Amino acid sequence: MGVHATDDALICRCENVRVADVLAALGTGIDGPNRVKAMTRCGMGPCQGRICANPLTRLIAAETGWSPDTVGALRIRPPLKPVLLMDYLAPEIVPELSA
Amino acid sequence: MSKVVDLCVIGAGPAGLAAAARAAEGGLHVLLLDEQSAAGGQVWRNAGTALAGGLMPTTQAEKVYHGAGAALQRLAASGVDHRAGATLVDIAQPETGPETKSAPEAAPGPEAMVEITWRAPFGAEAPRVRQTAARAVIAATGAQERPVIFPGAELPGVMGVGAIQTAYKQSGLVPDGEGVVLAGHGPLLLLTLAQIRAAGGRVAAVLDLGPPGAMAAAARALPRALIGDPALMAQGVGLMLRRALSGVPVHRGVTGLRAHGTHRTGSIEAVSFTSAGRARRLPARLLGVHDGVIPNAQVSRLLSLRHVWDAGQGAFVPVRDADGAVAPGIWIVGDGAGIGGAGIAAVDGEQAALAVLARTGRARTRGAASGPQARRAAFRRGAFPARADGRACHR
Amino acid sequence: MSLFRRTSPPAEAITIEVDGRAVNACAGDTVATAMLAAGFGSIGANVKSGRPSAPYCLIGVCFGCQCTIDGASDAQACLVLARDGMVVETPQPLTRDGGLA
Repeated sequence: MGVHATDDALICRCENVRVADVLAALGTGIDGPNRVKAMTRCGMGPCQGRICANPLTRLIAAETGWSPDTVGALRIRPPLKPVLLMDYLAPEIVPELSA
Repeated sequence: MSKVVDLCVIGAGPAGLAAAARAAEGGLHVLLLDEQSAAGGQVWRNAGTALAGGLMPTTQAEKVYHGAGAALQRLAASGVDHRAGATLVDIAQPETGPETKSAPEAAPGPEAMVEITWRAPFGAEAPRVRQTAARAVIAATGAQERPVIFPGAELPGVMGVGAIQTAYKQSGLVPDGEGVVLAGHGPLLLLTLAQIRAAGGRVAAVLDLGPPGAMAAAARALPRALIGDPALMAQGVGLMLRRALSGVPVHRGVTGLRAHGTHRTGSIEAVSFTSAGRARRLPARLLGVHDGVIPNAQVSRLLSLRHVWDAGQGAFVPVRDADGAVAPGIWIVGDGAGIGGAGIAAVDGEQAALAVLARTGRARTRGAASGPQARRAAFRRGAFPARADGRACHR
Repeated sequence: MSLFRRTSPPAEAITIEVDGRAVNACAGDTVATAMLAAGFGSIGANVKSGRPSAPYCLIGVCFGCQCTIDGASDAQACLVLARDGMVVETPQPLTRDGGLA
């Protein structure tokens, strides 16, 4: 994870989640990035994990001793970028599926 | 604008440009969506302006942007519908219900569409969110820097060295004044140092965050990590690095990196660390950090694809077949599928486009990618993703 | 003093408005590079703490530059090409009890 990621370092700058907060969540027995996300809000901000996802997997792997493949990664949902609600509600629909 | 396309390409960097152009040349109706304001991705950012002499001397631009001019000309000639500034919002794959898991022959056939939801460029007529059905999708979303986690990393004035590169390519900006500190390791850090010095900027210190020997290894990897023709760049790399590092204090074996902000503005004003057993604190107005590049994985994650951890890259990469396909009708190419650089990315994009063309019965046999770059790209698409230095990584 | 200086040949000068102030920029800038060149230390703000944020990536990944441009609050300044007359509003830091500063 890096010797610079001290407990007070922010792993998620969008939601102000510190490394210590993630470690505390792991300490309750949860075991994966998506449970950490649910508990700490890490990954829930505007960047949707673009900044924290890779460090989060590596932090959990380092703390638990599990491989990153076992730890897994944050689940990503649409929308990929913030969209104004008024724009989202009235998309141009695709009516023609001509052969 | 047609609401149904043969192929939607996401990303207009080297891989996306090659994929889109190749598919369009093969007769497909191609929509190219890219959230940047001009084609080229990151490595070829602002290529048009640069090659016209609007950024740096053209002789330099031709080296730095090697391949970009040809790629952009090819795009312009290809008939691709390129939407600069268009942002991907969602990709919905053809419906696969529980019945297809037990009966793969019931899976969506080749006519099943992938639904792309995207936001039209800034300033476009409302509604800005659009939907397009595509028979195939090639995602070429490229790379990002691996975020460096340390206390104070979120302070204004702390940025990835990639951002310093981007500021230069986009607007010719170079870090100015005192207190410019670079921290990290990797070829891009050295390149940024060299560029700042070459532009007459001062770098107050370089903090080597890598393990012993990492900086030397990064210097050796620099030609391969550079855009354009590695052979061209290698000619000047050694000299460039010697000049770049002369007179700049380099602190090795740095631990405990911390950025400190001012009370008034909150921006960074100093950086503290330990090096060679001594605690140090340096004034810093701009701290450029780097810890390598990783795939920009939002799209591959959105698609719920299977990924494997590549230990060499320190990142997940999507599992792909020999052509880069990750799901029915969906391919992922370029650095977004695993870091390999611009040359491999372009070949990767071509290969996926050929697969899309073959799927529609329009492949042309003479179009197959070949040569050392193609062989590296093909190796890279195998079960063991290759690192940028060409060696395989075990899963 | 800006963190950056311009080194490229002079491009067409344009003017954008940031929080009511006229800011000189160049054609070809993104709103983010225009603001950095003009000496803005921050562009966005943390939604929860109000802490000023600035670009970390400049390529649309970090959201340090999210602000309102021509009335659209979902704008990332690093992805929007600066145009003459563009109106930029940076997020106001929230005070502790949720009011605008």
